[in-house]
Amino acid sequence: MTVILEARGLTRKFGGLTAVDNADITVDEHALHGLIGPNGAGKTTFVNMITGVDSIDGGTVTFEGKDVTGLRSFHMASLGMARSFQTSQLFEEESVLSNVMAGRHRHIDYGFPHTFFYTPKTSRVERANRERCMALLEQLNLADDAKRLVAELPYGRRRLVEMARAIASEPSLLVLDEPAAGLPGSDVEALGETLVSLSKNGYTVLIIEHNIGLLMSICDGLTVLSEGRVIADGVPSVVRADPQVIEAYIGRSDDA
Amino acid sequence: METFVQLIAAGLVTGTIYALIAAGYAVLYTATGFVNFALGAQAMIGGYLTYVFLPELPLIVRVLLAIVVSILVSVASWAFFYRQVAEKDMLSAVIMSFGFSIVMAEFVRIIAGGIPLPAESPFGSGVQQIGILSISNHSMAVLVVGIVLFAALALVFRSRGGMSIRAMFQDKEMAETLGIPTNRVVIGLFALSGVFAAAAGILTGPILSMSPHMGTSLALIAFVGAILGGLGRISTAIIGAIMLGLLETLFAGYVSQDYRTTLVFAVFILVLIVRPAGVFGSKTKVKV
Amino acid sequence: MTDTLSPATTGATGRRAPSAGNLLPIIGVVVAAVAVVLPILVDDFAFNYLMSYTVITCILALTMHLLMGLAGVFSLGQAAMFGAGAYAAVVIIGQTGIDGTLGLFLVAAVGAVIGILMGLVTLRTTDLYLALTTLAFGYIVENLVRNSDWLGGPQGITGFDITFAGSYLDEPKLLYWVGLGFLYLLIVIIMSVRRSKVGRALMATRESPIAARSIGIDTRRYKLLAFGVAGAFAAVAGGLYTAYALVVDPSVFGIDLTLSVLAIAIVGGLRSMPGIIVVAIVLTYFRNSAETFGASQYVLLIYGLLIVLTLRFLPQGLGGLLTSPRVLAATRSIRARFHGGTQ
Ligand SMILES: Nc1ncnc2c1ncn2[C@@H]1O[C@H](COP(=O)(O)OP(=O)(O)OP(=O)(O)O)[C@@H](O)[C@H]1O
Ligand SMILES: [Mg+2]
Repeated sequence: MTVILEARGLTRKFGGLTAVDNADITVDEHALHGLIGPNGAGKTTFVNMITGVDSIDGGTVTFEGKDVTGLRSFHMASLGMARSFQTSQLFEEESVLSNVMAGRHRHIDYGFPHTFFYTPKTSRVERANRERCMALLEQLNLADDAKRLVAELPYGRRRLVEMARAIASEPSLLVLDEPAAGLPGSDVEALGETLVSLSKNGYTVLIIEHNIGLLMSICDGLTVLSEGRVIADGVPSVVRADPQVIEAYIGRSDDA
Repeated sequence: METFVQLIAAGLVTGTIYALIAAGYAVLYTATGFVNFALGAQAMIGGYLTYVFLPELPLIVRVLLAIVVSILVSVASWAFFYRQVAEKDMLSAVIMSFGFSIVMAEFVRIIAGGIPLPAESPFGSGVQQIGILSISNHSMAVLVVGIVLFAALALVFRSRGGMSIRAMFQDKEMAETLGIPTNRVVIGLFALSGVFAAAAGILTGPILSMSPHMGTSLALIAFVGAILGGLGRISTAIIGAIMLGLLETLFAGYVSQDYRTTLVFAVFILVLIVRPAGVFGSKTKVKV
Repeated sequence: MTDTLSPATTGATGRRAPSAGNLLPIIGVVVAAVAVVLPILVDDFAFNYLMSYTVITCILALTMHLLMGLAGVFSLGQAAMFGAGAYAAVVIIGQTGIDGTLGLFLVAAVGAVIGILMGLVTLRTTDLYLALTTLAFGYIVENLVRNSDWLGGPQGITGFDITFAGSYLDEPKLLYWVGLGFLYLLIVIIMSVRRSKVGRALMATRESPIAARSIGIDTRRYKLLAFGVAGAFAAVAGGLYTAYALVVDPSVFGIDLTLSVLAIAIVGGLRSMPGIIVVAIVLTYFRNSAETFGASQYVLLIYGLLIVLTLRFLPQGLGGLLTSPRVLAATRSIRARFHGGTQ
């Protein structure tokens, strides 16, 4: 299997706090890879560094064989890394369709003349774009809401729209930050199915989740962060049995 | 040397006037996140009430009237206009205050005309000689009033009531659960900023003479000063404004009188590029 | 599957209602055509003169729509761009003698540079700081121009001729037509951009820069693009204004101008091109009538009041009324009735 993403020794400090400390991760192509860890473990910070949203204090990121350390997030995205955010970042006052169409930004290349003067070419490309996005919405059961404003949607649908937008960009690596948080059980199940079908269709997914049951059942690989450090890494069955992981989680439930 | 001392004194005077407005900004900004551009226009109205509109009344009455009107304008504009808009869109509220300051300026222009009018200092036209420094009574009064007001501000915020106000800045919801009436506190702060604005107008009149649109540029320059120091804290906003006054006066004295506007706004742009949180401010980042 | 029967898909992608939705472009084209022949129909010097000024105002107001409504950049720097364009036109066309057919495009280039410069300086700032930085630009340029003898200092410059294709552009009809040409060009650009990749990129930049970047949109680049285009057209408006006013002085950078376009943009609705155009025409006409009736001293007061009251009671402006949920629901129900819909 080829490795699509490799991060080595990533470190991020906020003042005195080392949020991520010398952390490694390796994601294989077409894998569904989970990233878990207690609250405040540094998961979000870790993927923020990988996707160029946050700056990096140390370490390297290699994506599809290229060194992409420190590239800005739009650059990462144009290389094929798409993501969703833990707190939704949506184009609130826009329709679902328009949110998702924006996701295909990097695949649309007509030059400036075609943008400034709506030419037949623009029209052709835009129609194709719209159709593809509608098809995607159809697949994700979002077609009914295509024309609705995102701001009007209930929470679960909004999460889905954000994922749809990321998928629309046809990324070679899809990063999801807690897509199941706050969803009712039935929706979590559906989400799991969607993820599996994405993976079957050749997508590579890196997913942060607190719902460990979900990840255990669908993931090919798991990485566990605790207090900024990777404490375990491997296939779910091995990680589950790791004493350090058990301690990290039990320690957490003691706190709570 | 003499020029230098003279310029420093003049700069402190100018800076103090900017700082009065800047303090008003910071008081409101730290509590609500709102920047009230109309403070400059309120200062202007305070000046007109003191020097132009009612020459027959005794000075003390005019000054009190200026302060009361400024407080009323401050509080009423927040209660009936800014607050409702600020809840949804802070920037709109700020633009609104900009529009409101134009309304006030034009209102005064229609009543009193657009020609700058001289204002006679309540402290007379005397000049004191202190060593090599010769300073007008009015300039001294500006410094004294400034110090008194800033000291009073510090006392208010150090007191127990002030503590609860500061707690409120930290966390509004928490403050409300603790039973601090945030709404009433905010109204109080608007009244306070009104006092500072009126003071700025009364003190600046004899220096710049009165013109309807003086408030707009005063508001802008004071804002530059506030962000130069850092708008996030009252003390840094005041210090920044005083620094800007000094800088502007020294520049006018040694480099060029003509280009002082360019200097002020170049400083503004530079600060925003280099240190968006102000020289003394600390950087905050949005978390995602 | 029953896809074709499901109401949602027909509503979303299916047939479009041929009523109001398709009528609007036709109305637009008719209005645009009438606007072209209007000076022939109403051949009155004063009226044509006013029309040329209206067109200039429309261009300027639409640059605000582009920046604020589309890119979400709350810029108050229109006066700097407009004034720079005015001075550039006097120097390039009036003094150097380059004909307006080329000269106005050079003026546009100057404006684009100023716009991009403004964009570069404000890249790291947002909202309030951006508004004030761009406003500060106006103050700086004004201060520099006021102190430069080369540009006539505080008195400004008079006695220049702005020509276009060999004719004097101070002829109101010609000025109107040239202005209208640029206005239509801008309208076509804005409409095209809105429906294309760049429009979505601007939308994304406006709604959530973080999300925009996460899907590969270089938000800086699109902000600069918006600033550049807005600067170019604002400068052309300034250039045309010199042909209208026959004098250029530092007042072109003044708060008066900023306030007027701001009032137009806010009352019309930042997001609404038709709203802004209609309000630009109405307010220009109002201002002109106020002048004829000797009430011009109330104009700025009223503009200020309009800004305050609109923001307070009609935050989306008049144009927002067209797209407000309630109005949309009403149009939908009317359409449904026309089409025998069951809802
Ligand atoms: N921008 C920031 N500034 C300062 N500290 C930060 C910042 N972002 C994160 N932190 C801190 O870094 C640590 C790791 O945070 P992070 O959000 O990455 O954790 P997480 O594993 O995603 O947690 P959760 O499961 O709650 O989402 C936390 O202690 C957090 O407070
Ligand atoms: Mg997190």
